[in-house]
Amino acid sequence: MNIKMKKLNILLLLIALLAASCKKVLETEPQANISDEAVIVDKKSAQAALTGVYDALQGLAGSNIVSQDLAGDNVVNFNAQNRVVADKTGGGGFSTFYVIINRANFILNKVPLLADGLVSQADKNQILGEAYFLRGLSYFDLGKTYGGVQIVLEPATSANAHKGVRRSTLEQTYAQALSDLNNAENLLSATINRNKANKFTAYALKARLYLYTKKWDLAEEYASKSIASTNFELVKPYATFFTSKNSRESIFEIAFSTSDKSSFYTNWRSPEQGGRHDYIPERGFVGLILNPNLGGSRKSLLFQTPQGVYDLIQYGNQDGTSSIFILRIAEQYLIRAEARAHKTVPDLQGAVEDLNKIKGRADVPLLTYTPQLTVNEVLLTIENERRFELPFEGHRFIDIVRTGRAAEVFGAVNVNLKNPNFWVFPIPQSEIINDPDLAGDQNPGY
Amino acid sequence: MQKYNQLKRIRVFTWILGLIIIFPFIAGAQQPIVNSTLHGQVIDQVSRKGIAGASVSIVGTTHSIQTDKDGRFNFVTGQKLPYTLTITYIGYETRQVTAKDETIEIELKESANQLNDVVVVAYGSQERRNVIGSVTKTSLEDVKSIPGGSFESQLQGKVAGVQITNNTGVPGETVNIRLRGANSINGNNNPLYVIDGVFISNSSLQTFDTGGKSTSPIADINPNDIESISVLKDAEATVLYGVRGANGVVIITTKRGKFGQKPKLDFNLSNGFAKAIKLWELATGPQHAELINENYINTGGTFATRPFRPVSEGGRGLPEEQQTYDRLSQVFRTAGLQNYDISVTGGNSGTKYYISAGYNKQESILAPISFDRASFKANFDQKLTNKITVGISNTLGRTYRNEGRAGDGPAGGLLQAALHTPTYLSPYNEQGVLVGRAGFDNVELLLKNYDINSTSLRYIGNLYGEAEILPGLRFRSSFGLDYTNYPESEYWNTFLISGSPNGLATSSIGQRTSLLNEQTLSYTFKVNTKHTFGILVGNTLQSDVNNTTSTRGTGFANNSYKLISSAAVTTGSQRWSRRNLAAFFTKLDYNFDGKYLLDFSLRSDGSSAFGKDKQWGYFPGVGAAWQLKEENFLRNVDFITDLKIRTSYGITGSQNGADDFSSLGLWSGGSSYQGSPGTAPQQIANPNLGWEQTTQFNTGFDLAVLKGRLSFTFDYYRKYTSDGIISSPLAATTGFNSYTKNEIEISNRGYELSINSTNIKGRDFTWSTSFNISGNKNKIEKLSAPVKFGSRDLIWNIQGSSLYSFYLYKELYVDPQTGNVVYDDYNKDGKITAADRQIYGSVWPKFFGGMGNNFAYKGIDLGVFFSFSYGNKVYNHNRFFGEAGGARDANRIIFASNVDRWQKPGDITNTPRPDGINNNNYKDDGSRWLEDGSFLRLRALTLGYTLPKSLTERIKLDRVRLSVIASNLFLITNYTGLDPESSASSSQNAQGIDLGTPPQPRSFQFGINVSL
Repeated sequence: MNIKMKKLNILLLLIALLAASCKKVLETEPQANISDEAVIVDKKSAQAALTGVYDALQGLAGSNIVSQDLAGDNVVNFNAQNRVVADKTGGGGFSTFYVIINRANFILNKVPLLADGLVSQADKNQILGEAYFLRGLSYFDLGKTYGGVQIVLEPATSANAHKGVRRSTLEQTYAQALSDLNNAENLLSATINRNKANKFTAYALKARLYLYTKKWDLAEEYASKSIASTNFELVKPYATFFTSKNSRESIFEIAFSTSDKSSFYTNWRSPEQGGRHDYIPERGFVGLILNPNLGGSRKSLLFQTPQGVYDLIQYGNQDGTSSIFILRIAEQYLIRAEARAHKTVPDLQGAVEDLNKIKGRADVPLLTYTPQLTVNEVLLTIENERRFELPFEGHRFIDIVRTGRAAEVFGAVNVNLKNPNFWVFPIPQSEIINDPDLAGDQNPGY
Repeated sequence: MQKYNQLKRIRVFTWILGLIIIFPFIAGAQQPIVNSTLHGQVIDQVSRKGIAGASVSIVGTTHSIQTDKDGRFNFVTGQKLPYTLTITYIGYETRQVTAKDETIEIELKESANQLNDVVVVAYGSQERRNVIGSVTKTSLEDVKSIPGGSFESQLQGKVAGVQITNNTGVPGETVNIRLRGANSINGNNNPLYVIDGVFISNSSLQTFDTGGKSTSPIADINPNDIESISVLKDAEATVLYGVRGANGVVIITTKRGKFGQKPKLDFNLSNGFAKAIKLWELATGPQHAELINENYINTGGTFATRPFRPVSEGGRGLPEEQQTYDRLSQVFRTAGLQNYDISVTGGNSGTKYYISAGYNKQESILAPISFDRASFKANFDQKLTNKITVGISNTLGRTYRNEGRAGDGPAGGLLQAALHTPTYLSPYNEQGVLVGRAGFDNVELLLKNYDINSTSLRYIGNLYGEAEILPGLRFRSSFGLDYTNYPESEYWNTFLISGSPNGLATSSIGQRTSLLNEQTLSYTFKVNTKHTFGILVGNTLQSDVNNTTSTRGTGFANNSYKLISSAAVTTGSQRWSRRNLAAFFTKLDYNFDGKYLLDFSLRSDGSSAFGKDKQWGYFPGVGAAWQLKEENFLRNVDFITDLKIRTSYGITGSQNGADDFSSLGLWSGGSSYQGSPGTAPQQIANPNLGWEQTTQFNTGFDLAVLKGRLSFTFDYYRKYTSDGIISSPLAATTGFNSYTKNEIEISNRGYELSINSTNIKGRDFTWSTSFNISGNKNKIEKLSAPVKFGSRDLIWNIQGSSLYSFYLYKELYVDPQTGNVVYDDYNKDGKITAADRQIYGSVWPKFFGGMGNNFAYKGIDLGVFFSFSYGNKVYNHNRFFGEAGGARDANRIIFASNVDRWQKPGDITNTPRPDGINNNNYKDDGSRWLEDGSFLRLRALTLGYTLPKSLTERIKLDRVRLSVIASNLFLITNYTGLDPESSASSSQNAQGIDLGTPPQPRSFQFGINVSL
């Protein structure tokens, strides 16, 4: 009996041993994924995380541009061609901007903590600078699309990470964008890489932000930085900037390749060309682009299908390799022209000079500077030139809105747009449902 | 890897320890000395025929043997005569007799009730009289020939409380099986399956698209190898399965030999065919054309420009000039069915075995789908000493399927091509070349070029050792393995839509490995003869690994090249995941004099799928029963043979709603930019993610009267599931769409009633009836936002209604004046808008069940088995497309039923005026297509004839039985589709939508069973 009791004891011991080991048994780790803690640990992993931010931007850029352009008078839905300046019911990429912001926040939060031995200060600065730039770009675009938004600067590691964060004002949102861009400017190197953030992308985006916030002198100053650089020039003919990759026109273009395709062409090309024909340039506007005195060589953006429809081919490579342009030098000339015309002491001659750089490249008649020209005449010409020069890159709607001309220009096409409430996008209804902190905070009128 | 080693080390350690414990017993084994020889026969008291397979043992020893086919046995033992024998046989009263001489004849009396029947329960077995929980034992005997592929599909209507919906007529596909309702949205609601002590996986490894359908891993198992099935339903019965017990447990016991049994060879053969009971009635070409014209004019077109006008006027020809092309008969066929099983059972005093081989081939009535299973089974048990037994169970199966898309989706869809293509369109174009129409494939090309197949290679094995350490104290250790290798390949050539323009091939290999180790130690003892106590403790370690590698190639030089290596563009992907489970459990039970039964169980489960703070769950359960018949006041009431009341309460769980790594904050690779590899957050952490918890209360009784010839089992239960796992949307600012969390609450309550009756029992003629009926009420108690499923979001799960409810516009009637549908203005705002959709019925039946009648007259036996379901709804999505009133023009079929439409004021009809533009007359999510899916089905009719013994003995055979088996002989239903059990999708959340899937066929088979 005693021996048998011993055997029983051995069994109990065995069970106790098993209990002790179970804790480890339950720690399983996936192979295809790594956990939050282990994700940014050295230079290579920090760079990989940064690549992930660009990857998110790749997915967003096209859809945001389309939302912006459909809101204006340059682009229409193929299936609703008569609805120019359509009412905005959603879109704009609200949640995807926060995907970029969250990915950038991880880097901004974790990279500064990396030991010096794992990553050099110069590399740290570059990585942080790019992350700041991408976050700044996101807040800037969120602000211009939706007005003030919720500002989150820490990575989300739990579902309730940002509980209680309400919407900021547009000024606060732009201030956040500016602060990020300032950091980017300070941290980034001046080495040119047209597909990634560097000092010049920070300059150029700041120039745009200063223009939007009516800081005319600063807008001129920052636009001049890129214009003065020998790295950038207006390429000729016009089509070169989108038919070749990384032309000297480009300050920041989002690149795609056959192994990392963009599906943006399918939105624009007809089924015969491998697309779905979701959107087309608005017919009236097509007429203007085709006018040699207005569009000039910019007609090369268009392609007439056998059915007679004009399709946009700026993003049209059927292998999915067309770039999406975020910043190019032509815009900087137009920013500087507008800033010069607006300055306390307007520099209309300088403005016209910049404007004519654009007109000249497009082979359309130049504007002759005379002292009789008024500021408003110059501004109106710039506004129109922006429409032809940057027609499908998401500028038109915000250009008309930020200059306060939406009631006049868009209101003439769609009376709803006389109401300033509709000069910003609604926050998508689903996002309001999903986020209690957005409850009751939809943009007025929606 | 380190974790894996850890687990392995524990296992090796356990096994070695087990051996150390067992070793002294092995060492002590000795050769027996022969002291006496006894020849005997066990016979039935009434018929005086030998009883085969009765167990005879000598009291006070463990020496036990089985009687042979004539009831004879021989005892060669070390015991000296006289000694006492105990004779037991299921269905007969156990008897003790003293053997004095060298020969003996023992009469057994058939038992009045099934109280001695042994029922398999969690980690053990019990006599029926001692069962406290709600446990139903069943066998497949009368239904295993029903075509379908898996035993779970064959179980329909057999067990109270188990609702089985077959979904399709394709053999071997996933069926919906629900024990006492459904508890989860995210998690699989299937019960836990345990075969020979191994927890087997029942989720399909299929990765290919077959139109939303998936193959059933349960079909890997040959139903012929199954001895009995125990269905564990209430918390008392399932609590020892803890975090996996909430959906109920199905324990499958496979056939084993018996010690001392002469080898017995069984051979079964059956061959037959299956055919659809009916097919859809379609509009003819002229009728189709007429409806299109009518719709055209009704929606504002002019007569002069109607589509079907003379070709000379630029039209498609007049309606009466249209041809009618039959495509259905091209895909539906008379399907062949074959089944062969051979098995040998036997044993000697220390060894018993069961070995078998089976082959089953079933064509689907829908070409080119077929199911083909070959299986081996080998079960061995060996006594090492009187106290130690080791054994192994092996199941090996290979299931090959020719697959087809028999569900939703246009490309490659068999019934889309054959049913949904308008009848007036020729399969040939003007050049005489075969073409697909209406966006679907050409039927002939489809059948010629279809090439999707899969093979499931599966091994389920369990090795155990069991030792009786002290009288009543038993230790058991077992190691299990469930391994599946699942290669799939498909090739779409250029004749098919999916293969356009240059061919597409995919090849995928899935592997699932589940390793299991369990120990149990049990001790039973009596105090003062009236108090019986039982203690069970045990542990479980399990590790499940899933991985899939797949490659895909596009761009083939021509249709002769099919291997991916010859494709222009190839891509590959790989997935891997693991889940570990560790558990400890205990059960204490107490039995007072057979009158009062009480038990308490507790299981503690740790699962790696849950968040760090929630990995361990504790699952307690209690049960009590009162055997009233044992009380003095009933003991002498002859009318009542048995009366027991039972009640139980307990908590079980489910971990099915969580993926293997759902709780972790994860980053994935693959987010590249400019050729640089990138990483990105993929999933936000939820350290609080835990199990779904189901509390269940059960009460019921077992009553037998008239000497046990009529018995009733009734149960009532209430289940409440909280912390239901769901994918919950997140604030955009987090950068994630959603995360997995515990949120929802669901309740189920219902009743189950089983009645068994021996109506007539004579010397030559017997007639018995079994009947069961159950009802379950399911309700979503808490859910913050509706969760939508199914094609076009037809199914909405909303707080306050039941799962799988249809959310529709309720159609009231067709206005005889205008011919337009009048919809219910649910929110009374004067307009019909999306806000007028309402919950309108669900897939849940009000009650369901089955009834079997068995007759035997001399050598003839007849079994008639029905299943039924009442009150469940089916969305006839085929009809939605087929009754679009011409609005879909040349893009869809029109059903013959649509011809009976409103045409002029005063017409009374349910089919509105063809006009889908001005008046939403043919709205999707309209209630017109939601139909009553109630049915009564003659599931199986078996007529058998056993050749007389005198004849069979002359040809040296033990038993020969010839049979005819018919399934689905008739189906009574109001449903206008082919089969109310049809579902386009195998997904539990999208059931009840009938689209593109074939009906369960009517089949006839001829069978021969031979034993020798």
